[in-house]
Amino acid sequence: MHANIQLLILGAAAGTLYALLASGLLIVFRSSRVLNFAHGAIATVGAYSYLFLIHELGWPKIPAVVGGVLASTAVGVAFDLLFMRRLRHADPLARLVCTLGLMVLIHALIHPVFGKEDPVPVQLFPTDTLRLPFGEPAFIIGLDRVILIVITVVICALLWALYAFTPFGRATRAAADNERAAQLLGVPPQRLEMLNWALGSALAGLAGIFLSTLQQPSLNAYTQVLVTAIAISLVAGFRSFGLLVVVGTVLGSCSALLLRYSQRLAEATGVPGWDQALPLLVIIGAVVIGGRSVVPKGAETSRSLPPARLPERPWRWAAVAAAAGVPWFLLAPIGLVDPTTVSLIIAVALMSLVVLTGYCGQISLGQMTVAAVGALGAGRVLEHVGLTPPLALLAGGLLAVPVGFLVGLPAVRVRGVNLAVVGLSVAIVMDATVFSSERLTGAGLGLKYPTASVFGIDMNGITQQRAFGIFTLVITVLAGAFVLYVRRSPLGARFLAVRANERGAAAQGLSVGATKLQAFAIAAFIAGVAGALLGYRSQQIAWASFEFFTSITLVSVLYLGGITSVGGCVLGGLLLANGGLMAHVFSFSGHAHTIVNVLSGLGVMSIVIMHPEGLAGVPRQIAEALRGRRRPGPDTGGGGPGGAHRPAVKAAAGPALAEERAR
Amino acid sequence: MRNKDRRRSKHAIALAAASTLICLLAAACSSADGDSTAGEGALGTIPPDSPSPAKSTLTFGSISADTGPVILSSIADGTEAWARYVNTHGGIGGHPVKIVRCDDGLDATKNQDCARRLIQDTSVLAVIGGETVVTPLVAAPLLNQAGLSYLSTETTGEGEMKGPAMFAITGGAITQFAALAKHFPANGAKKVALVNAASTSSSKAAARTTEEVKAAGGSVVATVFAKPGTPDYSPVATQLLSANPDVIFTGVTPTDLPALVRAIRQQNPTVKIATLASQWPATTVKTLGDTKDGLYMATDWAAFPDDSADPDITAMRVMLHRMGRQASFGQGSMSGWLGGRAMEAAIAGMKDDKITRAGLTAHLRAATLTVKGVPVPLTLPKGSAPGGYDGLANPSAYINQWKGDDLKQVALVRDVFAPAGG
Repeated sequence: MHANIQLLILGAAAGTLYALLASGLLIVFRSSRVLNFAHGAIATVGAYSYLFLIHELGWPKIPAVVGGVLASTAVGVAFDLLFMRRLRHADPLARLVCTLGLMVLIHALIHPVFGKEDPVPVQLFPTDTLRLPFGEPAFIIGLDRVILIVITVVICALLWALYAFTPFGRATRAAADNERAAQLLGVPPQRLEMLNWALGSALAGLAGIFLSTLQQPSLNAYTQVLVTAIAISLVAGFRSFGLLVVVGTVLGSCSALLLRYSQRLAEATGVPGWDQALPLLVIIGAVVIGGRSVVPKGAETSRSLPPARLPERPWRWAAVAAAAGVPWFLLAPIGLVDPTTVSLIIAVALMSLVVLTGYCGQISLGQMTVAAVGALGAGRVLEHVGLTPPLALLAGGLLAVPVGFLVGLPAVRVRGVNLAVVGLSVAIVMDATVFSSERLTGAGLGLKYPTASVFGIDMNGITQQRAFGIFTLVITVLAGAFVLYVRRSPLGARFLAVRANERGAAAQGLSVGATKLQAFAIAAFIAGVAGALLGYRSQQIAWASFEFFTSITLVSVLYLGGITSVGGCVLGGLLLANGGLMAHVFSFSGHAHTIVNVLSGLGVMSIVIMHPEGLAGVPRQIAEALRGRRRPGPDTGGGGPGGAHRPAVKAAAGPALAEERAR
Repeated sequence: MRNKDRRRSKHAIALAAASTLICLLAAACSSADGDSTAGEGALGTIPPDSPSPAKSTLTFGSISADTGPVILSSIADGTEAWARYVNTHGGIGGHPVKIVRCDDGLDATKNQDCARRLIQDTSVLAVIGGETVVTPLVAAPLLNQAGLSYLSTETTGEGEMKGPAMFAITGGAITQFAALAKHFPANGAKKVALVNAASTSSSKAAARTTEEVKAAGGSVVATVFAKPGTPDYSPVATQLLSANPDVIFTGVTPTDLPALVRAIRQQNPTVKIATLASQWPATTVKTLGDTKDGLYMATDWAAFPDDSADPDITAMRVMLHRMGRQASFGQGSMSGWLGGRAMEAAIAGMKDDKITRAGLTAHLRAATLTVKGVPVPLTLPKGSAPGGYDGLANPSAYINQWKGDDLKQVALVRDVFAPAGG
């Protein structure tokens, strides 16, 4: 019991620090109605700047803290001025993706800017041990922890007062509740938003600096802490600073207490990571039960996702892909073959998001986790049954479907950023438990794929790269055809109807929940196939290839390529997949990863503003510009051969058609 | 409306121009690549220092983490230093030596890519150690599958070092844990608490350490696995200390070590803490600060930072200095250097036409590396592993050969680092 209470006390200290990080998140959310996924990266900028100023420029600690906070503030303000301000009325997904772009950009640049090694932490506060006046023996806590708790509580109290009693706070709340009304009353929403971004980013920087006193700062560590901060914000309902501190304290204490029992749980279940997973599972439950009331309603959006056009003569494109791809795989220098294969596999994974997000409007930040399940399923099946690769891919896809279904269940009750966070939490839970379990997945060792052949040709992604590349090309073309088939089918029309207006779709008699689950299931199947392909390509599945950050970058890559377009998937895979063709091309510099991520981050932030259809829509627009006239696409809405002639589906697709016609 | 369309068209044209520029750049770079290996990825080559003899160049690969969350480049630096040293002394039997490095950023996907590139580069005869966290798990099996020998400079665990072309020069973490397990119970610290990074190799190392502690008459009273990058180690420290141990063995990542030690010290200033010499980055010692005073460390023969009487160490220090690098501690530059020396030993008796991947693998099986007068086999004797020879399928047996005098054992970190100057 004594140890348990001690753990609760110590966990509370870390929990309040999470709450400080979450407070910056809350401020930005209130003013911009965006969940800032770059908040952890901005915190990293603060921490690295602080340590850079101390180590490299010899600044004293307090000025360095100010410098670190100012650096974070500058990043936040610049991001608002350059990007978020132009996205005030954009689709929530576009705003969220823009913050993902900033996160990817900061991740790419932090080491080139601050040096390749993570900086040495510097103690900001005295680390003496305090003995509390109770407990036998007396409970103890570090003085630095006590100082952090006090600072966090004071800051949260000041923030509460700022937003409750000052004209700035009242104006911010007014603008958040009803921007147009606030504008009529003379409140300048853009300036308010900038000030709130500045304050939120400053708090991120401060939290980052404080965190660096507890642990070696690193991008990965801060991203994981951000997820906890987001979870705290969600449970606290993005409402109250006081509630943030309470939830953060409780969560921190529970996590610390769970550590005591996680080893026993791991031994009993064969699955590790319960101390990380259980709090997130509870939060997922809370968010799902909380349903739509968790996130307050924002201002109306004037734009939505880009139109889900059908390409003209899709089979011609397939033929062109085959005609160009097969000679490429046969004749290209061997060094380019595998990167092309990787690009195509990523394109297949992106296609799953086209169905889910592009067609049905559901956000998933855990799609690579679903792909991992496909890889695992195919690997396990291959262990026991000697399937040929096509059947193994099918098995991987089918085994991923139940998981996709489960991941999609929360979508029945939650949507938007909440759904994104639930997906991300599921991904992190899977990382910490299933993919860390030696018994289930081989953990760090991963899973070996046995070699197999198709028509007598060895499908070994390492030794038979050309043959495997052609095999992947065939699968990519088939996956693209499948996605287009879905788009043309009545089901695709229902997806578009749900995407356009859930209430409208429901009013037309459509089961919105069932439609969403169908989208999740189809997307999971495609992602599972991509996962199994990755397994064949490597002959051994390394779960690190499927970690949650990969899922995040997948969304940003797709948005850049074109979130509603199969061609966008291929473009995204070729241009921006890590390990893909473009990354290989840039590898001459020795910084391919950095270059690709910088292009990806900058590109996605620019594209959401300039061209939401993504790069895939550029040729069409150029063609239209050259023709000097706008001609509607062959099918821009939910109609099409598969849907328009069926009255029920046509009715269901009504909102989608209306949306498209409104353009 | 028309203005909007025009604006969109302008945006589209701007984007198209940017895309075209990228594609042109890509095409230019692609055509400049020439063969499949030149200019690939993070591959960089180190040219021979001295004029090449007429004989063909012997190329070895090394995977290192020159970027990423933890920098683990010291082993590859050591191998590179060895190559330069050999080249200034006429190469191996007249053959100049080249090291092809690949940076995996401590990322499994990039690690796979490194393995793939080294396999594709048919000039690469074998791969020497390097980054020792991901490589033994991911790249090493792939290299073996392709018939490319992998010489581990830090064996990380049982189950990973399987394969007909898997070799090692040291037992690494398992060996060092064994040294700790042997030392502390024998010196009165019988209750041991273990804290390891949450990973497969760590859990296996922990299981093995538990056996070793029991065999030495002690007992493991607590075992905790902490996720690398844990934001606050205080609860971990509480969990460990609640079992009232005499000593805490820690195998957390070097970057996490200072935070863990500080958290333990806050709650118990006197408990003994013992750790491993596993590729410590330069920042670790600085970050430890005063807390390193009560910290014990196990090192094995491949992890010595300084020994002025040892010609290998002296030569390595000189070459590293010329390269602008510093000798590192832990399974670092010395391991990389010795990996090269092991290759030298294997190739010494080979005819020129037999120096191929398969030929080298066969010779590595029979080769021994002599360190300080002690012969070190690079693999188990045939038949000692269950089911016959399977590389290092049973590293425990391998490690057991090297207990005793070859482990330098346990010393205060402060004293260990004193000669190296931190």
